[in-house]
Amino acid sequence: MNTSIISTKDLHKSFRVYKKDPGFAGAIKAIFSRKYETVEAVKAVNIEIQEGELVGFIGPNGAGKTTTLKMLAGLLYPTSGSATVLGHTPWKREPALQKQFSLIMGQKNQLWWDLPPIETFLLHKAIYEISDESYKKTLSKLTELLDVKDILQIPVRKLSLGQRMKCELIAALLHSPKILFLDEPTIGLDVVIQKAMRDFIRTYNQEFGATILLTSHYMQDVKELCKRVIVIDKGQILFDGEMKKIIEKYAVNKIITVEFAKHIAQEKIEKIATIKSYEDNIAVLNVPRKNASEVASSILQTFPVIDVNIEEAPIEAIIRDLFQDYAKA
Amino acid sequence: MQKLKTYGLIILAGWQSMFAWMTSFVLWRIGQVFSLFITFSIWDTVFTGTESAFGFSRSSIFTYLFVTNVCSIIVTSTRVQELGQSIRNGELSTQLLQPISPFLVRFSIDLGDKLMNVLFGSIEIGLIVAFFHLAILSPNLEMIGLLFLAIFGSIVLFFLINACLSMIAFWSPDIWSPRFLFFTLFQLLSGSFFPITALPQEIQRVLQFTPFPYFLHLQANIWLERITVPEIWFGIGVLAGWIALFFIVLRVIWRIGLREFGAEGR
Repeated sequence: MNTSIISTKDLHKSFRVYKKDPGFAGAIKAIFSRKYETVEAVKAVNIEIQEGELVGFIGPNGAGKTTTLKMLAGLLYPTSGSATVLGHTPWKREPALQKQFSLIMGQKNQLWWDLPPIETFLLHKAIYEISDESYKKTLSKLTELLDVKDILQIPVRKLSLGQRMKCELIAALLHSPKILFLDEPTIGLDVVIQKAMRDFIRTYNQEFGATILLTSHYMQDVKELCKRVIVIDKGQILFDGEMKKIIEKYAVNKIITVEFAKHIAQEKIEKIATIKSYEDNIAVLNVPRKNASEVASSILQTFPVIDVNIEEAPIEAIIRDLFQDYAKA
Repeated sequence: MQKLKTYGLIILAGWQSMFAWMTSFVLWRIGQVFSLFITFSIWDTVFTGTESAFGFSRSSIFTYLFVTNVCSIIVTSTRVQELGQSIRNGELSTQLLQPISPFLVRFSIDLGDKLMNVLFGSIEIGLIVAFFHLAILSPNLEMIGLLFLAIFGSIVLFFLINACLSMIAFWSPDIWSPRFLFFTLFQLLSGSFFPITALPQEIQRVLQFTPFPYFLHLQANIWLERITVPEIWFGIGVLAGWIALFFIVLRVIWRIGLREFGAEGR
């Protein structure tokens, strides 16, 4: 039995893009004859997401992440294929669905720019027909979680990016949506606010049981929050599964960090493994996964060692390798 | 009831935004006073040494201009052009995500804007009337209902046409020039500068097949009782026809346009 609350089948979106030759001559030429090109933004995407999942949706710029989210939120019509969100076709924009989800885009404002955030919140209360009791309860909880009680009366244009983003989150969550589409929610934020946002997203997923589909360029976001990831590039899904499976499948190497008791000649170490860096008697080595224990053992037997540490390659590097392999293919 | 409350809150939010930028509003109003002053000065000069021109007495021409300019303040104070901007910069996405009609949001903001402009415009016109010592004729109170109906129709038609022009933004970034052309024609052909009856007969005949005489000229004629009740109903009927036509056009363009909408970000 299919219990997915988000489901897409062969979802496809292409855009017709106008191409202009450079300079003034190009502008004049474009008046009489325009060149268009069809860009395939999303190609036959199939996704199934169950209730309560927190899924990372990752890919390089132009991979098709935001286009997919926009189709799922009903902002874009697909060129072909189908999708259902909570049993509704999103691009029909039925109020029954609109009251149950939110799309938050890191670079867009839904708050009234010249007014304090509290005015937008009150407007949302009316638009989403939220009861007084529920509004007070949710607002109090969200302002506390995000620590923004003191800024609700300050015009949005006077707030910092981090404060604004927190208020955007509150505006989007006042109606307690069952589904959250988060598109780069931490973009441009400093590391402290990024962390606060991540903690909040995790709490919201756990406490409210909300289903969350998250895109982010910061792998830290995805690594900390998402058990499952969907990797997309050039409009096609390359991987859909648990984060640890990506590592198992695509991480070719492991990283061994060795602290030697005294200086060891680089040539001697290179006979055993490839050196990534070597400084202050600490060597970082790149070793094929299957040989990792063998290499570590050999180092311990050959050299005087203070400490040795074996770890997976950073997820950023694994994903980068995955994209590079795909690009070559 | 809940929906009405929502649109009421949107009007209030629109006012608050307006008050945040009071200088722009005040400068816009000062521009309007100059425009009114020039129009009334020209006609004051025309009537120097004569008691009638273009089939109007001095008091009736100034009443005509008074009515058309008051109606113009109500009808043309609109922010529907912001719909075009929101399509271009992707801000329309916010409204498309919410369980609310983007048009009713725009119309609510428009109504709020009109109320504010009527308040200030009444003071300005009052000052102009006092400055030129104008004797404004009173309307026939029995016609007030029809007059309000015609003004409301004019507001709706102006909104619909501007909304249609704004939606060009789905296909082209150039939304300013078609709107400018429409507004120029509106000012020349709807009666806010001079009575349409001052134009040659041939042009008047052609104009009857356009929406322009039904924006302000019809309303001034109702006030001055220059047309009969059946002619008023005919005028309102034509106005309703234009509203129906542009309502259908709007729906069709909206439906097709949304398929073109890229929801681009800023």
